[in-house]
Amino acid sequence: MIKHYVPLLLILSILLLGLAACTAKDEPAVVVYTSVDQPFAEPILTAFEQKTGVRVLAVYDTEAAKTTGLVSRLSAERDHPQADVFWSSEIAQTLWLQDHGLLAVYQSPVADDIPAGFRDPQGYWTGLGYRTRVIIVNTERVAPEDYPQTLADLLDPKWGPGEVGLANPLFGTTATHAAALYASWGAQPALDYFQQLEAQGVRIVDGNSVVRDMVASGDLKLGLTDTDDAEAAVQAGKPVIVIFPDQDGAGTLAIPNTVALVAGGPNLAQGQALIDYLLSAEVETQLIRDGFLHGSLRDSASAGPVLMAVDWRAVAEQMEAAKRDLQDLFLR
Amino acid sequence: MKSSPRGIHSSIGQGLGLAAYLLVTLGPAAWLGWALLETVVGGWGNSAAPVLQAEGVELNSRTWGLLGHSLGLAALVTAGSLLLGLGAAVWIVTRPPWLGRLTRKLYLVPFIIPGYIYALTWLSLFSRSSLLAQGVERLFGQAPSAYGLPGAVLILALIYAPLVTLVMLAALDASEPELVEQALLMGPAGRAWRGVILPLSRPGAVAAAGLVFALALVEYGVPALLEFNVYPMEIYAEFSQSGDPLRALLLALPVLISAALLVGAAQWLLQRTPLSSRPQGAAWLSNLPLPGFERTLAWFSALSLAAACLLPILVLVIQAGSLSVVWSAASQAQHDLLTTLLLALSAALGAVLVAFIPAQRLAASDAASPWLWALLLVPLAVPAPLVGIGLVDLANHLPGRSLGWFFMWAAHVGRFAPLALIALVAQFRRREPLLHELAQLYPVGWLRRLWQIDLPLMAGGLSAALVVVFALSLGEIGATLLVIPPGLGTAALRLYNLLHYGAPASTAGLALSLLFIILAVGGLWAGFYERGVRRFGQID
Amino acid sequence: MGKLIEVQQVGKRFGAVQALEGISFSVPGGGSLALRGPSGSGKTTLLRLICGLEEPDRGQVALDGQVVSQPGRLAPPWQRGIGAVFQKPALWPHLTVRQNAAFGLTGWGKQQAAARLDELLDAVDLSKLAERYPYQLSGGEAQRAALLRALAPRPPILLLDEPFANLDPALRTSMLAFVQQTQQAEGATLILVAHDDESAAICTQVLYLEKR
Repeated sequence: MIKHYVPLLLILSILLLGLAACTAKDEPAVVVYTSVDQPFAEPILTAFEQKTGVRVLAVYDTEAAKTTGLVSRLSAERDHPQADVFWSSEIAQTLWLQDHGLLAVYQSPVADDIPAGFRDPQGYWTGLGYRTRVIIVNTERVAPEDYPQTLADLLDPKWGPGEVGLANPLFGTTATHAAALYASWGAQPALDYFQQLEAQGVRIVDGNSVVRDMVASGDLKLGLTDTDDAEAAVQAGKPVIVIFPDQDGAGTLAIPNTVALVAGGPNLAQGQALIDYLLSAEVETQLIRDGFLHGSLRDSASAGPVLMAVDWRAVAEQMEAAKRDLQDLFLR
Repeated sequence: MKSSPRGIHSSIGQGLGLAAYLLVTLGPAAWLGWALLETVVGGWGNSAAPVLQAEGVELNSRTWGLLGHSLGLAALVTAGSLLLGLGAAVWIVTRPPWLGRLTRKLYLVPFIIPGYIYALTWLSLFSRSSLLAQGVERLFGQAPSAYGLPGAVLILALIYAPLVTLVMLAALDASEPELVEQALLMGPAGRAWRGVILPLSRPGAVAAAGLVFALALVEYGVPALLEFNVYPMEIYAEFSQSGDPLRALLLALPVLISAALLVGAAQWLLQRTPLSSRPQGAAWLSNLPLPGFERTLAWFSALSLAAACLLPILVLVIQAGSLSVVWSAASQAQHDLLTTLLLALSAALGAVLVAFIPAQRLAASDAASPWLWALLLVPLAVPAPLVGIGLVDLANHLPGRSLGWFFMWAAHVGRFAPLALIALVAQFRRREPLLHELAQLYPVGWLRRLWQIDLPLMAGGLSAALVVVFALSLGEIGATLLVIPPGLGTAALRLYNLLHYGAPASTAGLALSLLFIILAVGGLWAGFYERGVRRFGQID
Repeated sequence: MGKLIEVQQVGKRFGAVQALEGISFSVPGGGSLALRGPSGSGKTTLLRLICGLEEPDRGQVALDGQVVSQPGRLAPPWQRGIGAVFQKPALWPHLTVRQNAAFGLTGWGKQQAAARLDELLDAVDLSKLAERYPYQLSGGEAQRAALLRALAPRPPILLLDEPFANLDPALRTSMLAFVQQTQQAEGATLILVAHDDESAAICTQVLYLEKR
């Protein structure tokens, strides 16, 4: 007799478990939206939980959502914000959020030693370490004497069609890089550069990790990517080399992580506490050690590669123009 | 003795059941459609620039090109899955009964393994540095690329071939021995196969082809991983760029309409096709020798599907390297795995619940109109991103709303209820009505009748529908990544993130954990079902 | 005591096929009627209409003076007090013989139900097979089990649709005798679809349906 009720009991248990899973908990919590890769961000956020007892509810972005999914989500939630903190793996989206009134002012006391160029003067966002835009080269398909040293070297006729890879220039750090070139070189010279790349047959792929994978596998000879992606290939023992372009010239573009308080978030105090934690030197060091960040903003002037001087506000202003041009050029 | 107006309660119940199904499956897309309609209608009264232009999405050469990619991919996948699926069905029915029964449980495995696991396997097998690629380079002078159309076609054809096999098996099982015996009196076995047996299965094959074409048209996960750009990816890109759900809907319309038309056409034929086998199967076909081409195709298909089951496991095991890596990956993802399991279980229950009444309606021979069939199956044509976008927009318009567990559950149920519907219709069609009717003669409560008689009699089909939705839900990513609430994650999303992060061993370890769960649940079901078959004498 | 069955001008169509037209008859409470006629004359349809498993297009069915079936209105089958056996045994495959028979004994005390089942199992010679599942039974055993299930709750109406057609002659004779004996002892109203004189002989009335 009882055995007839076992399936019913099983179903009820599952439903109850499911309900339990979504029952609101009373303990303090903070909601963070982050485009930092989950394997890097998660240990940091878990450590914060353990240290403070504040539960961290994270939403991670995936490459499949084209990296700007979180920004769309924040924008859509404008009237009823769900997030407290926005931790971005780059800066352009943070500036967009600031310009659209989605961020709140918070100047963290632990960020006083972060250079002014990597902090919003009003306190809407603060930089956290940096990654750089690098050239990754397959050492089995490219001889050492042919390694490119500058961005201009990517236009060398020795690279045939489909041998150079670039992530979709409408999203992520590639979009930021393009806008930075527009701001630094001027719109027309930058556009000329990309037009030449296109004429050469550059291969546009889904994301920086795809550039890395295809260079590592030999499907591409070389490509532009971020330091963390490139480092992963090196750590995995792939036949690649990482080159910081323009070290003898303008320098390599460094894109900082940024941390910001979301306007109207439900857990203000916890959000500020999380920001203080993320901006700490301890976390910055951890992320560098893990291979996500290439360098510390705190000593960026004295250590590491030569970095390109960037006016981030100017970069933000060039973003739309750059995207429009590159969409017309590469994606039509 | 009370006499009630005949059919009122059943009509109300059916109406509510159909409404619940349509709400869950078409609700997100319909919500966006309504918003679009309001915008368009509002704009017609406006003398300013046409609203559609403001909301409009420019269909340029790139988007047309992507639509062409999707159509081409779908066509090739359909052709491939038709060949493989038919071949596999013929192979199964021509085996000795014990082998036929075993493979009838296994052939669905490729369908329930997530596509990105196949993509992982493919990329590992054919990466430029792999032995296979180096061997090809030595033979042909050029190493193959793992990326692009060929990989996407092969993987999707293998994934969807079991759907074709499902329909073809039922059609072959339904073939009358007497018809074939007449053909054998007049010519060799080959003529009987080509002239009688296979032509009788043609409507089923065409129906299955329509369904596969529609599913392949809205597919984007596997093509994305293999860097073959297809149209549904643009829906994501558009939503990410503009944040405007209506623009995403407009962009989705070409593929939505194409897929919907195909699903509608497929259902017309499905309605006339047996979806499940007779209890006695087609064991007699095992004595009928196959002609040369069909025999080659049958063996090729069987071996391909077997490879599709085994290769992912083999490659992932090699990539993971050790059990400790698998354990470590699973441990790190334990919360995600738990969330995934709970979500899949509750989605499976939800999908079967919402599909139950519509399935009864469809299976009743005097009640199912072709339009009803089309309406109930058209949700299959809605691309996964659109489901997620619709739910996000709906959540943003609800007072005090947040994207909680419910929306994630709704995304999964909405996506997979149509497949549960097909499995349930197959079950209802093959049940013996008298067994249910006789129970109505006794003055027992409806709940007891349902629990003691109706549900056990439908256990096979119900459990099949549950297992299929469970497995598909485990691997769902397209809608999930848009509706996942803060603090929750699924194994599939973590796997995707690991994939892009570039940790092949951990990725393989987690993929193996997921695969193990899927195969364990499927195996348990097959085992219990087989025990039930031996006990009660029913065969699906 | 058995119920009076009254069928008045009943008609039923299935698509283009008029299965029944203008059928009228009555069976007194405790009486018995043999239904005869060629295949396709609507005998099974008539039984299903009385059971409430089909709705008539025309006419009505009344039990003990109460209308239970008419176009647009149908009393539920479980309220009619009918035990039925059709040509297929239709035993529930997941229940044993005993469980199949016990299904209709709602409201019976445990001991009372057990005694009733034992009595009937003995009468149809299925005592040794009581814990077997349908797939473990022969055709004749399954048909007897179906009869057992129909008789167990002492229904006031018994409808039997050629239940013994596939049994060997000796078994058929003994089952017919058993049915007659049980019907008379319990006073149930019986309608039996009969294909031969032997079956029809256990009933006091005969109705012959012609094929349309």
